[in-house]
Amino acid sequence: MITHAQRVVRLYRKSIKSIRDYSEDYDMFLLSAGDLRSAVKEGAKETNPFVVQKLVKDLEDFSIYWEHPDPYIPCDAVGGTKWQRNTPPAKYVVDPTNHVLEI
Amino acid sequence: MIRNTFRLISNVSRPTFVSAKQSPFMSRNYGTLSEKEITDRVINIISNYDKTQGKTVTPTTTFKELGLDSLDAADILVAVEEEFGIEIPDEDADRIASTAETITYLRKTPTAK
Repeated sequence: MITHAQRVVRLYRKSIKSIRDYSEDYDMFLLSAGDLRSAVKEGAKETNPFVVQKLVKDLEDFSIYWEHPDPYIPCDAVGGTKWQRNTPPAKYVVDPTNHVLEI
Repeated sequence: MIRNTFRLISNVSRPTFVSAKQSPFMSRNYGTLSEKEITDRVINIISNYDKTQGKTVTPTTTFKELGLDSLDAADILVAVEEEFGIEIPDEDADRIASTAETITYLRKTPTAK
């Protein structure tokens, strides 16, 4: 269970990362991110719960629509190029002395 | 001659197999960043953010003291992720609300570069 603020911030983070993935340079990223930011900021003033619900739905739709098919993932993160590469082997593989096979 | 050859062969020292010292094998250079380096880089990121221009950022300031809301914090965390080459999960990102907490999180993250 997450709060409303957490939900909005998570959607915002996700959208910002999608914008970063689609931007070809940093200036383009800043422009698009600023637009998104001002839109979210305007919605923060809203007090009508039904309108708030609709705004959150819009942000969710935005984040889903702009989800990048091949996003940038840091190499060590889950799904990155180094993720689970060269995992340390089990001890009995490296040093089989005194290892009793479990049958 | 045969005897000499046999002596030569038998004198060759055979390799002795000694089990290596039990050390954490395949250890990697994780967590090599010093606290000072992390602090410097985090403060550099936060002080370069456009809403914190002209404000002094110390390792103990919270984002609230700098006049940043949760969306600014999200922006800063995305910048921190890019700087250190990591991915901060949403659950952890929700809890980070100050410079000190950012530094502590990075200290605990072995993959930070």
